[in-house]
Amino acid sequence: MQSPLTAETKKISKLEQFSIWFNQEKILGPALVAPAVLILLLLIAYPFCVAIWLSMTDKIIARSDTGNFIWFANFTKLFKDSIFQRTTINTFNYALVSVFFKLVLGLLMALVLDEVKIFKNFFRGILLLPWIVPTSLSALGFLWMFDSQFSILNRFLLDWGLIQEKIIWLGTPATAMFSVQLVNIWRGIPFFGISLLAGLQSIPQELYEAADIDGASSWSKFWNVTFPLLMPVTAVVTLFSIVQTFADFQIVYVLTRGGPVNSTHLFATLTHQTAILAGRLGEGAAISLFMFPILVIAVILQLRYLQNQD
Amino acid sequence: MQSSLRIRKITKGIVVTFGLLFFIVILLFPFYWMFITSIKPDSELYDTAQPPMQLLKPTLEHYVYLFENTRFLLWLKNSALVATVSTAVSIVIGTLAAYSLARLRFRGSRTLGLTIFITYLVPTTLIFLPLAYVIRSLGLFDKQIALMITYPTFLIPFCTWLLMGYFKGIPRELEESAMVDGATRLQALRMIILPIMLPGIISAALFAFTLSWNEFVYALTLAQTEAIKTLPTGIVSQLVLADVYFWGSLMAAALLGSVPIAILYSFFLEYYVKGMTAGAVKG
Amino acid sequence: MKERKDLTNRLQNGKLSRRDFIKLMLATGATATGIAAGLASCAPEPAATAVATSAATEAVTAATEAMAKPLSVEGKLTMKLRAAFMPQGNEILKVIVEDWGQKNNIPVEVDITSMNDLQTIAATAAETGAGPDIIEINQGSAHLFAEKLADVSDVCDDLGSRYGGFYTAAEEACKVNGTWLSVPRFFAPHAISYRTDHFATIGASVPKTWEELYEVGKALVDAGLPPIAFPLGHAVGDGNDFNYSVLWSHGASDVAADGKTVTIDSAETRAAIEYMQRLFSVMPADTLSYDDASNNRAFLASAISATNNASTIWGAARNQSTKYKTKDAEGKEVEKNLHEVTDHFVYPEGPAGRVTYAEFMSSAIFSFSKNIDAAKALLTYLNEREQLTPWVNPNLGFVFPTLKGVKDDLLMPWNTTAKLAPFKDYADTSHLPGYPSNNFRGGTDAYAKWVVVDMFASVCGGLASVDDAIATAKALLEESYKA
Repeated sequence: MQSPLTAETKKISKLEQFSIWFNQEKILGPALVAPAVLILLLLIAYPFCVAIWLSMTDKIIARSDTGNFIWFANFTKLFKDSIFQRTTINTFNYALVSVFFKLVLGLLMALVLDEVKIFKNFFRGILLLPWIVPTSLSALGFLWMFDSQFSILNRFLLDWGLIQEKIIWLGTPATAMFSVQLVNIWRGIPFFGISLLAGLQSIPQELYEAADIDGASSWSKFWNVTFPLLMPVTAVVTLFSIVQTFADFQIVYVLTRGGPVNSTHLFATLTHQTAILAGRLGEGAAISLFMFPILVIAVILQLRYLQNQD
Repeated sequence: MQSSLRIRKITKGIVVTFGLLFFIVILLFPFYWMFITSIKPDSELYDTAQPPMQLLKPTLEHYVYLFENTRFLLWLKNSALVATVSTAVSIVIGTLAAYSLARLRFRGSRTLGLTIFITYLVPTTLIFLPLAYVIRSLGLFDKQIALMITYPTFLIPFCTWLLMGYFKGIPRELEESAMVDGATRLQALRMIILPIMLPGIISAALFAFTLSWNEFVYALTLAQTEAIKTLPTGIVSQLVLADVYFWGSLMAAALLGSVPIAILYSFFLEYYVKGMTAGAVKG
Repeated sequence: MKERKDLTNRLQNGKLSRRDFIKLMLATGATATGIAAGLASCAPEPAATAVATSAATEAVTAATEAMAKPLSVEGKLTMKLRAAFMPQGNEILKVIVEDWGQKNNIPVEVDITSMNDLQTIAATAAETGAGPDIIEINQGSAHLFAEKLADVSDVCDDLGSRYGGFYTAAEEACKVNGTWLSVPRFFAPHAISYRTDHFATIGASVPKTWEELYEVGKALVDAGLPPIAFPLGHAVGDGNDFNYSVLWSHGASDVAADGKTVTIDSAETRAAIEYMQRLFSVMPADTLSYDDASNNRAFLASAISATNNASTIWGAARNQSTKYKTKDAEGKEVEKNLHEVTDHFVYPEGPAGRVTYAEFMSSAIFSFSKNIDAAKALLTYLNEREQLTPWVNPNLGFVFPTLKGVKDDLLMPWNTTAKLAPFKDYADTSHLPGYPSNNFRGGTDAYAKWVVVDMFASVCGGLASVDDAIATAKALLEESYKA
């Protein structure tokens, strides 16, 4: 496209020459991606490779007699480790249950917000709050709400006669898992809500009008128009949420530190305990690597889906 | 017919109102409780006999403690600085990358796009130790700039991906017509495309800012000195002392710490929703 | 004289602000050293004079030494310390360090941070070679980071010879293969905090054995009074302290003296678990979720009658004039000060006597530090009597010196305050995870995995049978003590 221009121009400065050369797609393309690639190579890819290498060594912090290459010994050991088995189940439970409820409640929130006509920005703004408060701080807020002695939740439930005695939120495996999931769901609903709201609003109004003319019910409009058109954005938001939830650290770290008896340990918190507190870097790296294939599968599924949509 | 339509409308109104109330209660109650906690004197806070929602003598002592005995304002400033710089860096780098990957044809662009996207999946807990090595060899350990260059690692993939979707939604003809008029691609990008992209950029920036504001693991390991800590790590390190949680001040800090972001969102919410729409749907 | 008394009071009440402290220092024209010596000299007992005299001599010696070889640092001397319970205690420590920096013309940067952060910072620093010059590490961490820590034997030998040597637990934690790799700093001593009024109501005296403690617990429940409550959750300090102490004082241990053979599967362990189950039956179930702060809050809210803790419950009740409700002679509800009915007793004895867990901190110097000499000088200075006293005293028993010779000093809190007396002998019976072997590396690994706490908790919480809990613990311990 530029070549005729080059031919016609007699006098051409170096700078212009460069600018024309630079304007070619095969040059400009890579050049523009380069900064992103460089920073990711240096600060993600390289540390990531180090982590993979670490996971195949017996490296222990500050011990020079360790760091020997042991192939997959860490992984095979983990398969037999009772805490790790428990952690795997916990992580799936935590992520799948949380994401499911975030999705369902987020969708509801989007549908509700879509209908709110007065002070709509105000409502949207304040309902985003759980998502924008730093997690470490809001998790502390929940720690206070789950306190065995002063739990405001218990006070309400007792006062309303829903329970007869105090629930020990963080003291039994089932309630502790429920509690950390609750916090994660609470924090994630607004993200789903607002993103799906965005998806809702991109659905052309004419489709609904057409459906109205056909005399469609609200339910059939939702099922035949809203739902399919909302799928792409839902898929993407769910993917992000799965990634974040599988790798979650702060909520469990603040609320239970993995207790009681490892019933809330997630891959990330067990990694921290193993690699940092006990100093077993190799084993810790192996634990956190278990997250990776799961996440990759999630991504592949999502991308497949998106491609089919195109 | 007419009346059944009206009934439907009224039912809908009631359902929507209840729905809204439901979300307001479950999502905002914790904040209300945090607020009450932050203005309750300790004597009432730890009195199990007193109805919890009751507040006899509101006090600002927890806020005073926060400002006088911790470096809250400094951490707030640090957080703002780190988040702003890393967001700006990520947006610039992300926009260029997204434009290239969405618009320009060159070998390997598809694979590259996918790879950038996948880096988003590498959990911070996995790489923070090796990353600390890198930062140390760069001579940036325990310096604020360490956070400013590491935060973009999880912001760039996201920004790139979101903005790619956005670029795809803008007709090629727009920039091609500009180039026919003699503009280079970059000029066309700056003059024609970017202004249209503004909602997308704002929504990516808001998202990036939020993620930076929230970050904990890198901040904990790479910025250890009190004077350069960010809000999440600073608060936790000074208000959680083994046996004692300063609940009042912690809640005060959590509330005050979210105000700046809340303000940002209130300004840009409209763009945010629009940006997400364009980016996400076409992504 | 009166002024001095007032200062002591304010130090103890935690009402002495950093500004006041500096003002006082300026007013008396003295440094922290001077104030400590002054405090000591104003006490009437003859012993104190001796203390003061020796303090003064030592101060002079130290000063001469400091003059002899001027210290220099590259950049700043950086140190990270664990935040103690008393904010004022932390402030005073900062002042002491800064004071040292000024005297020696060395820029010092002190950060006081929470325990959890310190572990991450220490691990990162040990592995990457980037971090502060001095760091406070907990428990047996010196064994974990051994290769990356500077030899501080000269500092420890010097301090040890001057102040009667270090406690066993301090040696266990800091001496790796005969070399001091960390300078012992303080214990967070534990005792049982209890409500004297509730104990009086049921006519209970202070329990001497775990069995008697159970009897008291049962009597409290029967009388409908707030129960006893000991943490079975992941409470870094209180949970480990309680569970290890019960285990050890029943004659059980997780490892044999050889440091390799796992001995958790024993009749003694079963006896300890059996005891714990009984104790749990008279405790509130939420002890399974207790973190370090939970028992403090519960006690301060008059919801429990006894728990194991450092002196922080009583200290907080006193500082904040926490109230409890009771009936006066006419049956009218009145509010009284909780600290008046709060007292402490030492950990009870088990079949194997009294063996307690040491909650312990030490200050290590990283070998990558370019300021090792200055760091050593500072650590020596901080652990000298003159600097220990003004710091230990206002911490109201939350910190306990690691040097045997100073605990009898007149101004040590347990000597000035009767209610803190039970903390005085804490360090005599204390040990680190890994005891009775010297494999404290393995012990620290097991401790980090909560093996002992979880073993008890899983049985009490009904999550595992005794056999299963022991089997799980055994498998984990074998892993820990192998490496």
